Amino acid sequence: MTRRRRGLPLLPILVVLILMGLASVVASLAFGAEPIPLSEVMRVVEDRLAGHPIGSPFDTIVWDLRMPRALLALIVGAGLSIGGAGMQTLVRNPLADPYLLGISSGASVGATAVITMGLLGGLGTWALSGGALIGAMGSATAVYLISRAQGGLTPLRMVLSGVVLSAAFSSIASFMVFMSNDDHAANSVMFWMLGSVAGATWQRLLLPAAALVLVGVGMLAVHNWMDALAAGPETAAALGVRTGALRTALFVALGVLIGSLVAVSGGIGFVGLIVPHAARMLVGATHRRMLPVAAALGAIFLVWVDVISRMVAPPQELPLGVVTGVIGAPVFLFLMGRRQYAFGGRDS
Amino acid sequence: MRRAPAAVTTPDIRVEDVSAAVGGKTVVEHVTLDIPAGTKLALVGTNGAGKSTLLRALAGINPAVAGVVTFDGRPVERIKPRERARIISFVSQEETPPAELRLGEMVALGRIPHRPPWAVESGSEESIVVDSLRKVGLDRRIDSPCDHLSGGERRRAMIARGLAQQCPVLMLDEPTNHLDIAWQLTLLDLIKSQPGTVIAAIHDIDTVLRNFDLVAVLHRGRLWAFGDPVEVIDHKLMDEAFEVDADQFRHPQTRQPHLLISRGKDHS
Repeated sequence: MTRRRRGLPLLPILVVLILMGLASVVASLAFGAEPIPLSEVMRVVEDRLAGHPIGSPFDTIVWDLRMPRALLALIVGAGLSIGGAGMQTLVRNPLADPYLLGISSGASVGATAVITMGLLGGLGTWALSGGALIGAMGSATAVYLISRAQGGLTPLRMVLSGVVLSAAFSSIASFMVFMSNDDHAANSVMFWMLGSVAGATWQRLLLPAAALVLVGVGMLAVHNWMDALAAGPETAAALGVRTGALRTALFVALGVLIGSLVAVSGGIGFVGLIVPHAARMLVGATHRRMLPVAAALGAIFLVWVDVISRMVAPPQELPLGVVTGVIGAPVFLFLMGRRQYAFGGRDS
Repeated sequence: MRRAPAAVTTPDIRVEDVSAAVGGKTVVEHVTLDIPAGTKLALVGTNGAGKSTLLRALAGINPAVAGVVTFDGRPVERIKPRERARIISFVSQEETPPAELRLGEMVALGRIPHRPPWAVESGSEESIVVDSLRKVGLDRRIDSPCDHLSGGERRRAMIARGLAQQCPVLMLDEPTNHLDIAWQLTLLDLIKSQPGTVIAAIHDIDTVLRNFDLVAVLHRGRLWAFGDPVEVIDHKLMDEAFEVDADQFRHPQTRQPHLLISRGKDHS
């Protein structure tokens, strides 16, 4: 029997990454405008998890402000990573990112409308998320219908419709900012577009967490079909996969996942593009191995990105997209330079 | 959960007045073929004659626009895709697998129709994969990424994927493309040794004479000739369908039929 060597073993890697993720969340709670000793952080977390009476003076900061924020970073990082991986498979393009289907620019139209025109005022603090979600779903639906009408959800059509609509929606958002009388609006819109998890509350975790679990479990439940789809539509069809139905389901799932992430955190770039590639380098390209590792890597990455964003220039917070871009671009270039990894195809 | 039937019997295939289209344009029309179980059938014809299109219609991948293809009397489009993929193993002409996928993982894709979409490759399936790779001489490369393969190796790997699917009907679109002469002969032997039906679109008509039971010649969007290759492929047919002067000769030692192609028509 030939000895198999398929990259690193999956289970130990996952266990290590999950432990690192949990440790990262707890450690991240110590950082912020008000530094809190790790021992106090541990005390709050222990008391809360064990249901003890609250003894620490830092309870509110740690449990009500920083904990939801860290968890949101965790969820968004994991979600963007599996969303990016799913998108790369859907359009068979290693450069695809989660926002390919126009979801982030659609969301930014919705968010900009809320910021500049005060739409959805009745939703109170949920107005921004609501506007973004509506915009995201609107643009994903438009890309879907346009691709459909022009002959089906083929990779090229989806990419082209997505790119064109993204550009159009970005123009609309810019137009709204330009026409607005509010000088502050441009700043708010830009901060929103670059992404942040600062607005996290316990209630706001529910929607993205549910979307992450649903879509993540869903993709893993059909990991064989995802592998077949990545190998090519004709191969997938020969293997008995209903490619049309699978693409439609994947499109809807990614729309819901990315839409809910963008609604609560804005458009954080680079994570969904790079992390799937990093996961493939570690454990190979099959979805069963790559998706969980990508989720864990992305989660850890974004937790620390959020820490950096609030430590660089306190009391100001940087948008997360700024930090992911500054870290992500060199990392991406480094990965590109490695000969062992081909980014889905080799140049000649 | 429903269990997949362990072994599917080799079906008789009937192609009745089938027309097949690519991109909305009908390229082959009114093809009628009778393919008894276990037959090795070669589809030949010039570039663009519709070999691949017809093959995809036979495999049920792009359904025929008219007529019907039946497997033991069942129309192919009525067979559910997953069951179909346990009857027909189809290897397309060229589809590049993801570069990072390892060879063993790529060939293991052939097992997908045999298990639920969430299931993991079992030990016995792993030995099927190794076995299929051994047949195409790539078992030592099982852990190589797919993009480290040459064109011919990739072709053989795709065929290994088709073999790992373990279907009674194997459909191959130009299986000998990119292969060196020794591997072409090995592959033809592999085709001959298959227990089930093999349908292959192929360019080398000379090899068809010695390795296939039946030949279907496509020309001008029609089935031009169909039958025993030694009877069908003669000077007249080669002139009409391929515009070359060619004649069958017997090899002086083996007495096997060979096609000698002496002159091509002026293409200008």
